[in-house]
Amino acid sequence: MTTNDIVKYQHKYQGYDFKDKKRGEDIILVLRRHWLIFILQFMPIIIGIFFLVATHFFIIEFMPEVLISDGKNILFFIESLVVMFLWMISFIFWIDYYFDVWIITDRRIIDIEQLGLFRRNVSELEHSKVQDVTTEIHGILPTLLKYGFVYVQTAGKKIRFIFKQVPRPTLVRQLIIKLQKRALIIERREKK
Amino acid sequence: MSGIVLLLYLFLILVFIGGLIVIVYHLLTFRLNRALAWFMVTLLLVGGFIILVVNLFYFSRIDWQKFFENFNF
Repeated sequence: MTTNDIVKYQHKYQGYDFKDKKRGEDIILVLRRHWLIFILQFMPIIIGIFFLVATHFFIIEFMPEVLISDGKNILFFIESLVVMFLWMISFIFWIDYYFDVWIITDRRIIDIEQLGLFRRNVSELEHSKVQDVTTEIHGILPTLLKYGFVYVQTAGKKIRFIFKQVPRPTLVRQLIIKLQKRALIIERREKK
Repeated sequence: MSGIVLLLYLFLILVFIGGLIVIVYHLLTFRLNRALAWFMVTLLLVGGFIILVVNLFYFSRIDWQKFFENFNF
């Protein structure tokens, strides 16, 4: 992880913004869980769509008498009602994934945890407070797809930031360590 | 009986519209990327509107009186 890499990341996230972003603060990295986790979270919707399509074709094939007169309208009404709620729930799942995010800026780390629609935890940590960064890649899939956990330990023993199932955890660790060193140098300079 | 169906349906529609409003609020209030947030809001509303219109269309085509008579309610 070089300074050039950091600049490259900063450029990538120029269009990004978040609540409480300080003036002049640059976003370096925005992290979410790996895409595989999103697919797993989305599985109930995929199963729901599968059952809907399967039921539709089952009725057409084996129960054609249902489709006579009003039966057809009732079937389409129920199906569209299910689609309506699947549509809404899929967006709720997407929000849960998309807004569950870790933002690394040039000044701090922000952990935003979205739990459903009505619960949101936000915590932040300045780079100079970071004491130790550990990564953990555990299991076959995480090893193959290169995702895992990053634990950020602060000076206080109990406070610990956990980046859950994020892609390229080693790179994230290197970046945090680099930013921590930079923050400490700036802090020392300011004290002098 | 069809009055109860209408009330129940109205309740479901209100839940759906309420859900969409909450989602739009989330997408715009806590957005990280302005362009993506507006894209998702447009997708949600356009898709939601089409599905809602289709659903309303089929609901209006069902003869609920006849439907309940067939089930001996």
